[in-house]
Amino acid sequence: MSGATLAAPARLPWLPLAIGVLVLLAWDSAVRFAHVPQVLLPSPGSVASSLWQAAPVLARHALATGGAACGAFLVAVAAGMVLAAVMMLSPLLNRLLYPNLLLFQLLPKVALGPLFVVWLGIGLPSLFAFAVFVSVFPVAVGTLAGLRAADPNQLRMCRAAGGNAWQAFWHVRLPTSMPYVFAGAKVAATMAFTGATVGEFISANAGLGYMVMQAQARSDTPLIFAALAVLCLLGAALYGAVGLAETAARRRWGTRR
Amino acid sequence: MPEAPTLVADAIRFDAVGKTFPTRPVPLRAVESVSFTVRRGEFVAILGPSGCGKSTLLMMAAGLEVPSEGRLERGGVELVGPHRQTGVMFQDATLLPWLSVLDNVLFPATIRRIPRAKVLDQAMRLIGTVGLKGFEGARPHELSGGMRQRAAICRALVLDPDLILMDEPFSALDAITRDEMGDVLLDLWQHTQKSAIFVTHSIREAVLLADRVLVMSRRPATVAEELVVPFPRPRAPALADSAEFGAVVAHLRGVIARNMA
Ligand SMILES: Nc1ncnc2c1ncn2[C@@H]1O[C@H](COP(=O)(O)OP(=O)(O)OP(=O)(O)O)[C@@H](O)[C@H]1O
Ligand SMILES: [Mg+2]
Repeated sequence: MSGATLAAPARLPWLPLAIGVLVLLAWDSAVRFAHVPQVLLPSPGSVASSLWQAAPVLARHALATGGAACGAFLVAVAAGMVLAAVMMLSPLLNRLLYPNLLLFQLLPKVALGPLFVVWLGIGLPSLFAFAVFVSVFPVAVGTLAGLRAADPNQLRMCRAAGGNAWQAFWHVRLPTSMPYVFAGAKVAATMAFTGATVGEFISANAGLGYMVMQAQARSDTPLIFAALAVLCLLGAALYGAVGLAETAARRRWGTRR
Repeated sequence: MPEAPTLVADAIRFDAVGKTFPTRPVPLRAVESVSFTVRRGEFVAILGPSGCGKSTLLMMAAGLEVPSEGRLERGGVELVGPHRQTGVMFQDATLLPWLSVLDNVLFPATIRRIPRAKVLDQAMRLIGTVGLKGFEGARPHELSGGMRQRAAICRALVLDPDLILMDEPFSALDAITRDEMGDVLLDLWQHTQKSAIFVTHSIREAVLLADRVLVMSRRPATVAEELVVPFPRPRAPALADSAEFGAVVAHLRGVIARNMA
């Protein structure tokens, strides 16, 4: 397993931080000296002041988006794992579902957003369903790959001990799949925010996506950037939480050999 | 003690057992009409050329492969699947990397839904016997290859089976560790009445451990020769250094060479 790193001391990522600061400086000087209009590209300073002024509103909308995305993420992880388990345990369902799953995986799922509005109307249900829809596939496909990656020798050992298919699933396949589940969950975490935000573009009256649309209508570009910054923060927070859960799981099911 | 019927005195009986794998384009005949019996408490070693079908034979005994023809009896009853009283050891330890040594040893109990408390003493005793005391909580990746096979021995024995099937359990180990493991097995067998089938490429291991050695032909495997090992039990590891031991090993080497030709 590639995660088998020796406990590295926690260090601040200096290099990426330095590059971030450099980009900010370049951005600022570009706006300052090339006289780029605010509507096209606001300076970092005006984004910051917009962040500060709109903080209460941003917080309210962030709560809506974060809540929807995190909820959708949890539902997608649960549903994706169940879907994969069902396909693993039932060859018939696997044959019925798997090709469709792959097909959906290939589809630009975001394009289906308007359909959800047609079916479920404007509001939370359609945006939540849409966010679940776009994030369930990486979990299902990843988990299934993990369940199938189980070591044939370990499966044989389990069978020799008298284990049935269900026990092989529970005691061998599921622990094997953990790193794959987390790989899928990390993709799902970003997909859930994509889904929630796009959902808010087309079907909401709250949330950061909705706010971006409002700001755009008012040509308030600094506010758009401020909302994007909050969105980044939220996405990073969920991603980080998944990472922490993975560390905990690795301690429990660490698969180093 | 009531006298057991003669049939049941056999731990396992192969009766004209054959196995063909439905490979393409031509089916592969791995085992050809094998008949032999392992009596209660008897330790049988199987020697034979690589790829002749020894593992296939053992997997059928473990109930993991179904014979294409013939019949397998386990304690007088037809064998249809993995048997509760059979312990199996494979070429590699196949420990589950996410479980501790103790949990790996207890795995058969977990699968058979036997309460942990019931077998914990037996597990700890075995772990002590094979020299893994203090490593109960370790994960497999923290063990050496030999230690992993020791844990696998404990796992095979934890439910106190009356038959152990071992498929080249030490072949992945270095020569010194390998001899050491042979001694561990020898020691374990001094005190048990368990039957065993032990597939190996090491003539020394076969002669040291077994009451009887079966030499298989090339594929498809049949029992080509059979040799009763003339050394009484209990045996000490030092037996392997004796001249008589060397003579038996040399004889078997000749038999095998004749079979390979
Ligand atoms: N599941 C299977 N499907 C098809 N062919 C198989 C299968 N298992 C084994 N064989 C074939 O059967 C033959 C005997 O294999 P087996 O593993 O029993 O040999 P072996 O005597 O154990 O060899 P070795 O000493 O190298 O372990 C081989 O030619 C092998 O390719
Ligand atoms: Mg083999």
